[in-house]
Amino acid sequence: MRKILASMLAATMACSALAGCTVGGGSASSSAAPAGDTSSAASEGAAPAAESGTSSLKGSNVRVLIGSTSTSGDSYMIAELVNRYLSQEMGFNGKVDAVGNATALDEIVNAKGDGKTVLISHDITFMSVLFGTVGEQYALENMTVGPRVGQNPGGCFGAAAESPYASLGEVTQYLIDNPTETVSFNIESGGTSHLCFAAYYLWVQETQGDEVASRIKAIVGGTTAEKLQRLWDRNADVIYGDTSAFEQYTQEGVQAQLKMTMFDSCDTVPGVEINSMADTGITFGGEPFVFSKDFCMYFPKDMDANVLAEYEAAMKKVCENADFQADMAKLYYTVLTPDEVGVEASKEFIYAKRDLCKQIIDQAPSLDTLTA
Amino acid sequence: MFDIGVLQILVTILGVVVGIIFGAIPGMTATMAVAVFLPMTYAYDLHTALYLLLGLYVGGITGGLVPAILINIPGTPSSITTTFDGYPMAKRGAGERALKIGIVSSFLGGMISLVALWLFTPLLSAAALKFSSVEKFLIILFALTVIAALSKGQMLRGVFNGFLGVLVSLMGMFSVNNSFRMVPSFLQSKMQEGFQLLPVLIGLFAIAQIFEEAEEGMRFKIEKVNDEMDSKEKFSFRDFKGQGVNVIRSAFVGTFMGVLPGVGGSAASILAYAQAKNFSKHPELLGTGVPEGIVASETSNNGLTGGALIPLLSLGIPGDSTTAVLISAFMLQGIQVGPLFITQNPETWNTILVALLLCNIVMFLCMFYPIKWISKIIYIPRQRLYPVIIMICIVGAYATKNGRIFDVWTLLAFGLVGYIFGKIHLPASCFLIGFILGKDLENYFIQSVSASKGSLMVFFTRPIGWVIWLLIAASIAYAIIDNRNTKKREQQKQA
Repeated sequence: MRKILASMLAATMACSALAGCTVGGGSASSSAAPAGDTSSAASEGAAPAAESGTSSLKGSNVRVLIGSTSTSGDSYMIAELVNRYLSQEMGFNGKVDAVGNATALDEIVNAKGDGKTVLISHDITFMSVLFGTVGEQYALENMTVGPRVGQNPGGCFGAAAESPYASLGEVTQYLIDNPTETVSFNIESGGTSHLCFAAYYLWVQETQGDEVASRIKAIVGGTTAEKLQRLWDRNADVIYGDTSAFEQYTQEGVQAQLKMTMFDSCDTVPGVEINSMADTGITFGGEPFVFSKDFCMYFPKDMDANVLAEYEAAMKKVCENADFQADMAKLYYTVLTPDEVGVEASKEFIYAKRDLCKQIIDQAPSLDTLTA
Repeated sequence: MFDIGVLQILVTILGVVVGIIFGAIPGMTATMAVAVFLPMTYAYDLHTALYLLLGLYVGGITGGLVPAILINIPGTPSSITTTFDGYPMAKRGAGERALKIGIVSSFLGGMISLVALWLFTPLLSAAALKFSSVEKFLIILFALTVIAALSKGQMLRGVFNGFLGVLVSLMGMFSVNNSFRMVPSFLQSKMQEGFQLLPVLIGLFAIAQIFEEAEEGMRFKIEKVNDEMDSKEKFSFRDFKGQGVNVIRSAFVGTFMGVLPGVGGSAASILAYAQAKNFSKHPELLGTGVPEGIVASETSNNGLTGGALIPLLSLGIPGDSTTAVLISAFMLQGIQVGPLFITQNPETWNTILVALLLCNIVMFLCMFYPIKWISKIIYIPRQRLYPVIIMICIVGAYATKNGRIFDVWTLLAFGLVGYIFGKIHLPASCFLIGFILGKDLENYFIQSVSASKGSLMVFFTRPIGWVIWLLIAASIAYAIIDNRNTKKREQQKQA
């Protein structure tokens, strides 16, 4: 009798826990009206969130997914900042979930289009598909591109201070002058570092030939902390990261093993004295190579057009908020104009950026070649 | 000099209590507690936020000992080794004593690591820099040798299961070329990062145990109840007599493992436990329910708290997963932790030291005195307790990746695996240790070999590496001798 009672209790508890855990749990929005072309509907719709703290999501719990598991990187920082201001503007209770790119994509394409699940992520969203890190089911076509939320122009390269080079141009010259040497770059596969590295590799290949380019090696994986350790161990010659993370190691008073130089940011970073890749003369397709991390909201494919329009209107207001602008500037992030934040403009921008990335990725050698 | 006031004391108490609860729930960790409370710190200044977050950290690490001792389920990965001696003690009616030994050990570990943080930060961070991927690989290899020591007369099975654990940990996407390894195509979207540690751990320990006991009819009986217990099974500070070396060695192991980024708390308690066994006068008693094992495990995992802050505050890189979250608190307040942090922010540095001291004291007070009531859990009939445990485990597994049903299936699947291991006499603890250390083992191996352009000689050319190789050899030799002696003793018993 006791065994039966225990089994029944266990089964009941397990069922109730599992029921609460089912994917996409939570109340469905019966008023949600999926629109075929949500982005145009959003742009056509009048901005409904006229007053701060009011929207159809008022009082709801909103899950803000990010494509990173780190809570100290730019993905978390921007998402947390946007979530804080957007929560006030739309009156919802937002919570940032650092679940990582693969999980975030899986969650967003399978979520309900009621606006209670939003992905705030950078270009890794479409680059991970282009690089093959995740499947085609996570392509932009299977989700809704929402408003862009900000930019991080601060990606750059860094090397130990004692290195014989202090720019990508000097790395190239070093390889030309030392035909038996190689230079290893620590990058993250499928991320912006992979793309910027690929652009540099292709430029060297184009200007100096295959032999010089073949001596540029990739070391894959790692957070910024792990990349720094590889640099300190001298297991990597050049690493990629954020200027805000590297800056302190360039200052006076830092011990020799940690001291580094940072160079060749992928875009111009306001307030930081550093040459960009374009300043070095690195080009792609005949144009100077410029690449900022663009953070954007992504929603499920069948996103409710009205809610999307509310997000758009609220995000426009947030971008005009002086406090938000100050908070973004403190972290060296770029605030966008209301026009840039518009859903239609954002969609156009993100799709165009994906096309550029696709060109680079299609031409770049595979990771197996780069790491060999 | 430093900030402290009523608000700071209140948030410390809040942090420690919530941290203990997180640590005590299987599947919830100190890292999760800190991550959940991180956005709250916007409301506070940095110093007050640090009191809260450090409280969560210390409480979360310590709370894991409660389920480890009382129900044989490690609340956190770093309290796996606490189950080895804690649960046998609880089964014979000495749960309260085991818990109090664990709490005092945790307090001592926390205090010793605080002293290390206060006095030796520059020295230890300089030492950490001498540990490259080669040394880290060897340390993890050294920690893996504990598998042999834990096998208790069935070394071959233990080593086999340890390697099986390493193999399973490598399932998922190989980041070097973005290819999936050992993952069927229909699971690829769920298993990019392989199986998550917490569902595997809880499944192997909790669910498997529940399956086993359900099969036996849950006739679990405490050998003695409180009133019948002799004075030897009641806690006394005399339990620490002769444990001085064990405490200091384990605290040092924990602190130093914390100082080495990427090695982790689980490796710390595993290594400390192995050393306690290697240096014990009665190694055969470890694992049967002796204070020595609990002291080693709990002193080392709390020793980690101060140690993990050393690379964070002096190098700018976190020592473990919890300090990786903690770094955000500084960044959100616009403060950069790194090589210049202590000299540029002396007041914050002093506040961290005071906060850590306060957190350890509050943790001790909040756990030591009320624990006798919590220890009564052991007397709850299993048929009533287990349904609650199943529910908590499912919630914990589901929370691992902030809400993924796949982790719940992982939990149940590994519960079944653990049950099968029990049937065919394969030690689940060895599998788990292999699983915990496998990914880091591969990561540091690849880093070392790729930096040396493919040469394996890199593992034999560095002086610190030689010392670790000696320790590895000694540990294996000891395990072989111990295994032989155990077999002999068993044969004599049978005869």
